[in-house]
Amino acid sequence: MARILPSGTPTRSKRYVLPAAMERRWMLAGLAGAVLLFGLTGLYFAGATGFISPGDLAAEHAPVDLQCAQCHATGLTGGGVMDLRCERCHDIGGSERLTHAGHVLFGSANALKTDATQEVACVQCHIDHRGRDWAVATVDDRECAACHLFGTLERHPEFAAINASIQTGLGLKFDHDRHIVEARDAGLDECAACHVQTIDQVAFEPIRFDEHCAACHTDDDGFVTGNTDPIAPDYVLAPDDVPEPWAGEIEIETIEAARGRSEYTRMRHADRWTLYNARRLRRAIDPEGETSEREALGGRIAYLEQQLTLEPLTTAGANLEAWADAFEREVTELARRLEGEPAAETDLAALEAMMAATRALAARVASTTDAEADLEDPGELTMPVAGSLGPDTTGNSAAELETRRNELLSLLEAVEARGGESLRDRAATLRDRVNGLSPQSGEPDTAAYRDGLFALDEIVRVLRNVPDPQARYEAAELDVLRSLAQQQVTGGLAQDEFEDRRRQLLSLLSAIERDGPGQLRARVAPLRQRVLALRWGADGDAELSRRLRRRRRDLYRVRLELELAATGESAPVGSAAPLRDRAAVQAELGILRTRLAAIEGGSRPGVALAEDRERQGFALESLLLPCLKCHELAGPKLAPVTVAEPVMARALFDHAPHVIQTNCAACHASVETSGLATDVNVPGVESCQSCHRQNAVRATCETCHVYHPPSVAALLRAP
Amino acid sequence: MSRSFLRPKCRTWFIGSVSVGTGSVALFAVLASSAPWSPGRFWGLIFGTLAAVVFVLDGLYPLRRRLMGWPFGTAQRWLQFHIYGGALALLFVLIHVGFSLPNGQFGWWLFGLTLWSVVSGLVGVWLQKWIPTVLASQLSVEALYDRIPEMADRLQSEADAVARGASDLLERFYSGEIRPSLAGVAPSWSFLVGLAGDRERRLTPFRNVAQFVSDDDQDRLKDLEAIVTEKFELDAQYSLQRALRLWLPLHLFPAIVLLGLLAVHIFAVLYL
Repeated sequence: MARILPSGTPTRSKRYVLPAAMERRWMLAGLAGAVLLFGLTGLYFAGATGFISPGDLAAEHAPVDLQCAQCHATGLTGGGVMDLRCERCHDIGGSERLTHAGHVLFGSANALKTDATQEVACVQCHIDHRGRDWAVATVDDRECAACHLFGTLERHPEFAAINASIQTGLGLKFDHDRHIVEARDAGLDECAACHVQTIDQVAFEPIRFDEHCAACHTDDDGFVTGNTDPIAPDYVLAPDDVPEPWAGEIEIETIEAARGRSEYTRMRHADRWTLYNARRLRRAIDPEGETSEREALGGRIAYLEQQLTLEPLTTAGANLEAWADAFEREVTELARRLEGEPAAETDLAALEAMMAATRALAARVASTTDAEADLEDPGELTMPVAGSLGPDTTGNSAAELETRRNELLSLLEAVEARGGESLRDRAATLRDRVNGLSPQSGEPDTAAYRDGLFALDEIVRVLRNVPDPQARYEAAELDVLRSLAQQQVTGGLAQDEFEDRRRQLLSLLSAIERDGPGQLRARVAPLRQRVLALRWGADGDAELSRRLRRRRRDLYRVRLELELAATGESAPVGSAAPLRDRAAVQAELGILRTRLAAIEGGSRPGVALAEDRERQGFALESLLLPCLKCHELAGPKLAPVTVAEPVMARALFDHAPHVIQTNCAACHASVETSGLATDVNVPGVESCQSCHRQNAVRATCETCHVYHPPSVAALLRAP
Repeated sequence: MSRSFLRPKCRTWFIGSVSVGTGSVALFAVLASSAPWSPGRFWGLIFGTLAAVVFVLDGLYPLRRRLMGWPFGTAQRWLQFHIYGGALALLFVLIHVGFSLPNGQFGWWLFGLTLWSVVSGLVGVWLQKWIPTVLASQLSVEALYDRIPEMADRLQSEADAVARGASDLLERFYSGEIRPSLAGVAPSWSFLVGLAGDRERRLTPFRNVAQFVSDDDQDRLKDLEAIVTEKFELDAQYSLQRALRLWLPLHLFPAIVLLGLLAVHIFAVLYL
């Protein structure tokens, strides 16, 4: 009989590894885990995302809490918080103000350095999901230390302004020492007589001549002291000849001087007659400069106005598919051009592009009705040896030269056919020279190659003077390409040559815009932007790369909106630029419009001949003599006055907590002996470190600096 | 009772784990002082990944035999890794979050379950070292857990037989104070704290009544005292063995939930 086993006696069991009772428990536990895993995942995809959130968003982001797609791109290979999604609300205009590149540009004003900088994602510094009270805009100082290795204020190097020792470009001559003595003698507060704090005590009210200077620098009738030098009547318009509306309120008195000249007196500050004539003279002396300045101001104004009127990108009311297609085409074209212009052989590619444009232009010029030209003898035309044209031209140099010679000849024939007698003579001379082109033996001659480019430049200059707007437009395009080629061949133009060339191009574009048909005018604007965006020292690749990068960004923005619309999460909650930015942009617009108004309007005298420019320059100085007691000339115009602007433009300084603790002399003692406006009358970093240090007054990076340019206007005005 | 049972059996593992833990904390201290720490940055992710890997390996502990001992080879190494790895995983989690508290519900669930799983595991290690020691040194009765209720019932029958025919005093004493305590197993968590106090408490009435009991009943009293002592030890056995049995689900099921949430967390990090 089998032994009766008491209850609980363990038996020999095959299920030793996992007894039956335990197996059931394990299966239940595994099932529970699987239910949890797939259940929660399923809930997430069904839209219940709350449980998976690692924490509440900061109060500023609360409206998009639990809407993951507003910030996060999803996907196992491409997820994460994308900067593009931040920009949907924070930079709807695509100004790149909030990028790391914007920070570098704002701080350095160096485009090449900006282009070379690595991208830093927004979330690198701005972390969220830490609760409603989290200050998402506050950034740890150690993030700054990643690039600014000194890390803390204690180790901050001496301020750049102090190291520079002088300030430049202030536009005004001013000696503090003498003015302090005068104020003291008059019984006034030495500083507060001119430097009036703003209501919030952060900064000081602008210095205005009428309020702060007129009391001493004008006579009893309010006129500035001093007369102009004698000026020939050819160079200025008499007060009676000034047209409206500038004629009003002119109180100028003319004093006859020797040799038929006149002196002028009874001028008020910012005298209308003086400024009107100064503008005229400037236009005669430097028309391209004025055009360039006007174009630049106009471009900035247009850009800032656009920033103010931008609305968040949405699929409502906009055909974003068409936009995406257009951007895609442009990106493809830019990428193709970028690939087609590699650094090593860009000169050849640029020349080939230029030759193609020249052929087209020659055909166009053949249909023009008349041509005026100011063609100078370009000198000996030679072409470099074959090897310098590219990597494999040994066997093709003769054929290439022949091709180029024929192209030039056809161009010159077209010019000859349409031009007047002097133009025909010039073209004939050039034709002889082109016929004399022959390859040289020996080593590659970059100088000769450069000379050849200059020779082509002369031809382009001729063509720019033909009346056909289309021809002039294509000549402008040709010239941009020629500039690219020259940069790659010679390592770049000198800066004054570069600016000179830019002014010429802008002038040409203005002419086309003024005279050309509507369709052509539409093409002028993007070319003008390209010309304005060209930076001296940058090569053509950098400019193309920059354009390609920006256009790609625009494309991705549009695609993002389409993607979000498809998923039903396209409602952006951001506004345009925050109020602070809008106020700054509007203030900047006011300044720019004032400056534009100051150089616009009035008569346009003929462009001065070279020999007359010098005399006109003297006339300008004579006219502005009373002004030059204080103001400075910048070429043929008065320099803008920036002397009262902050010395350290990249730092924030709040005077309020400082003025209640100490007096002006504690930091600005050097003004007592400062005789020049260029003196730097601010203290060095050691003065700040005496209070701002660990365990004392706040000494974080944000105490004095902002990372992002405070507004689009500030980025545009990068120092 | 000496605390020698707490001394690590495998000193190599102990020293190695302490070294790894100390090194990790030192590395965190150095890195966090030079740059802001975030779970999503490189080093935060490294420690998070390490913690996840250790948790997954710890989760494979019950399957060690099916895995033929891979990757640790012996059961001893499996156990040591399970214990020390789990403790290190908690440290890695704390470093992963930068020693700061979580912010959202999900974070709190992860953190709480991690803490519970590791702490309950360490409590289990302690129980598995301490309880057998107590059972061996402080209890003379040995019994299989499943048989203890039956044995307790038999004790009551024996006590009834002893008390039959006793004097009124003894009978009153038995039925009033002794018999109720013999009714079934009486487990108590106080046995985890110590046995001496309870034992003394249960035997004190016998000493109090001994002076009043006649000489004839002294033997009965002693028999009853022995039965009560045996009952006490059965209760202690039952309680201590139950603690060992109950501990496992309290450790295991939250750990499985933790693994599930960990998978969701990894998915969220990769996908979002």
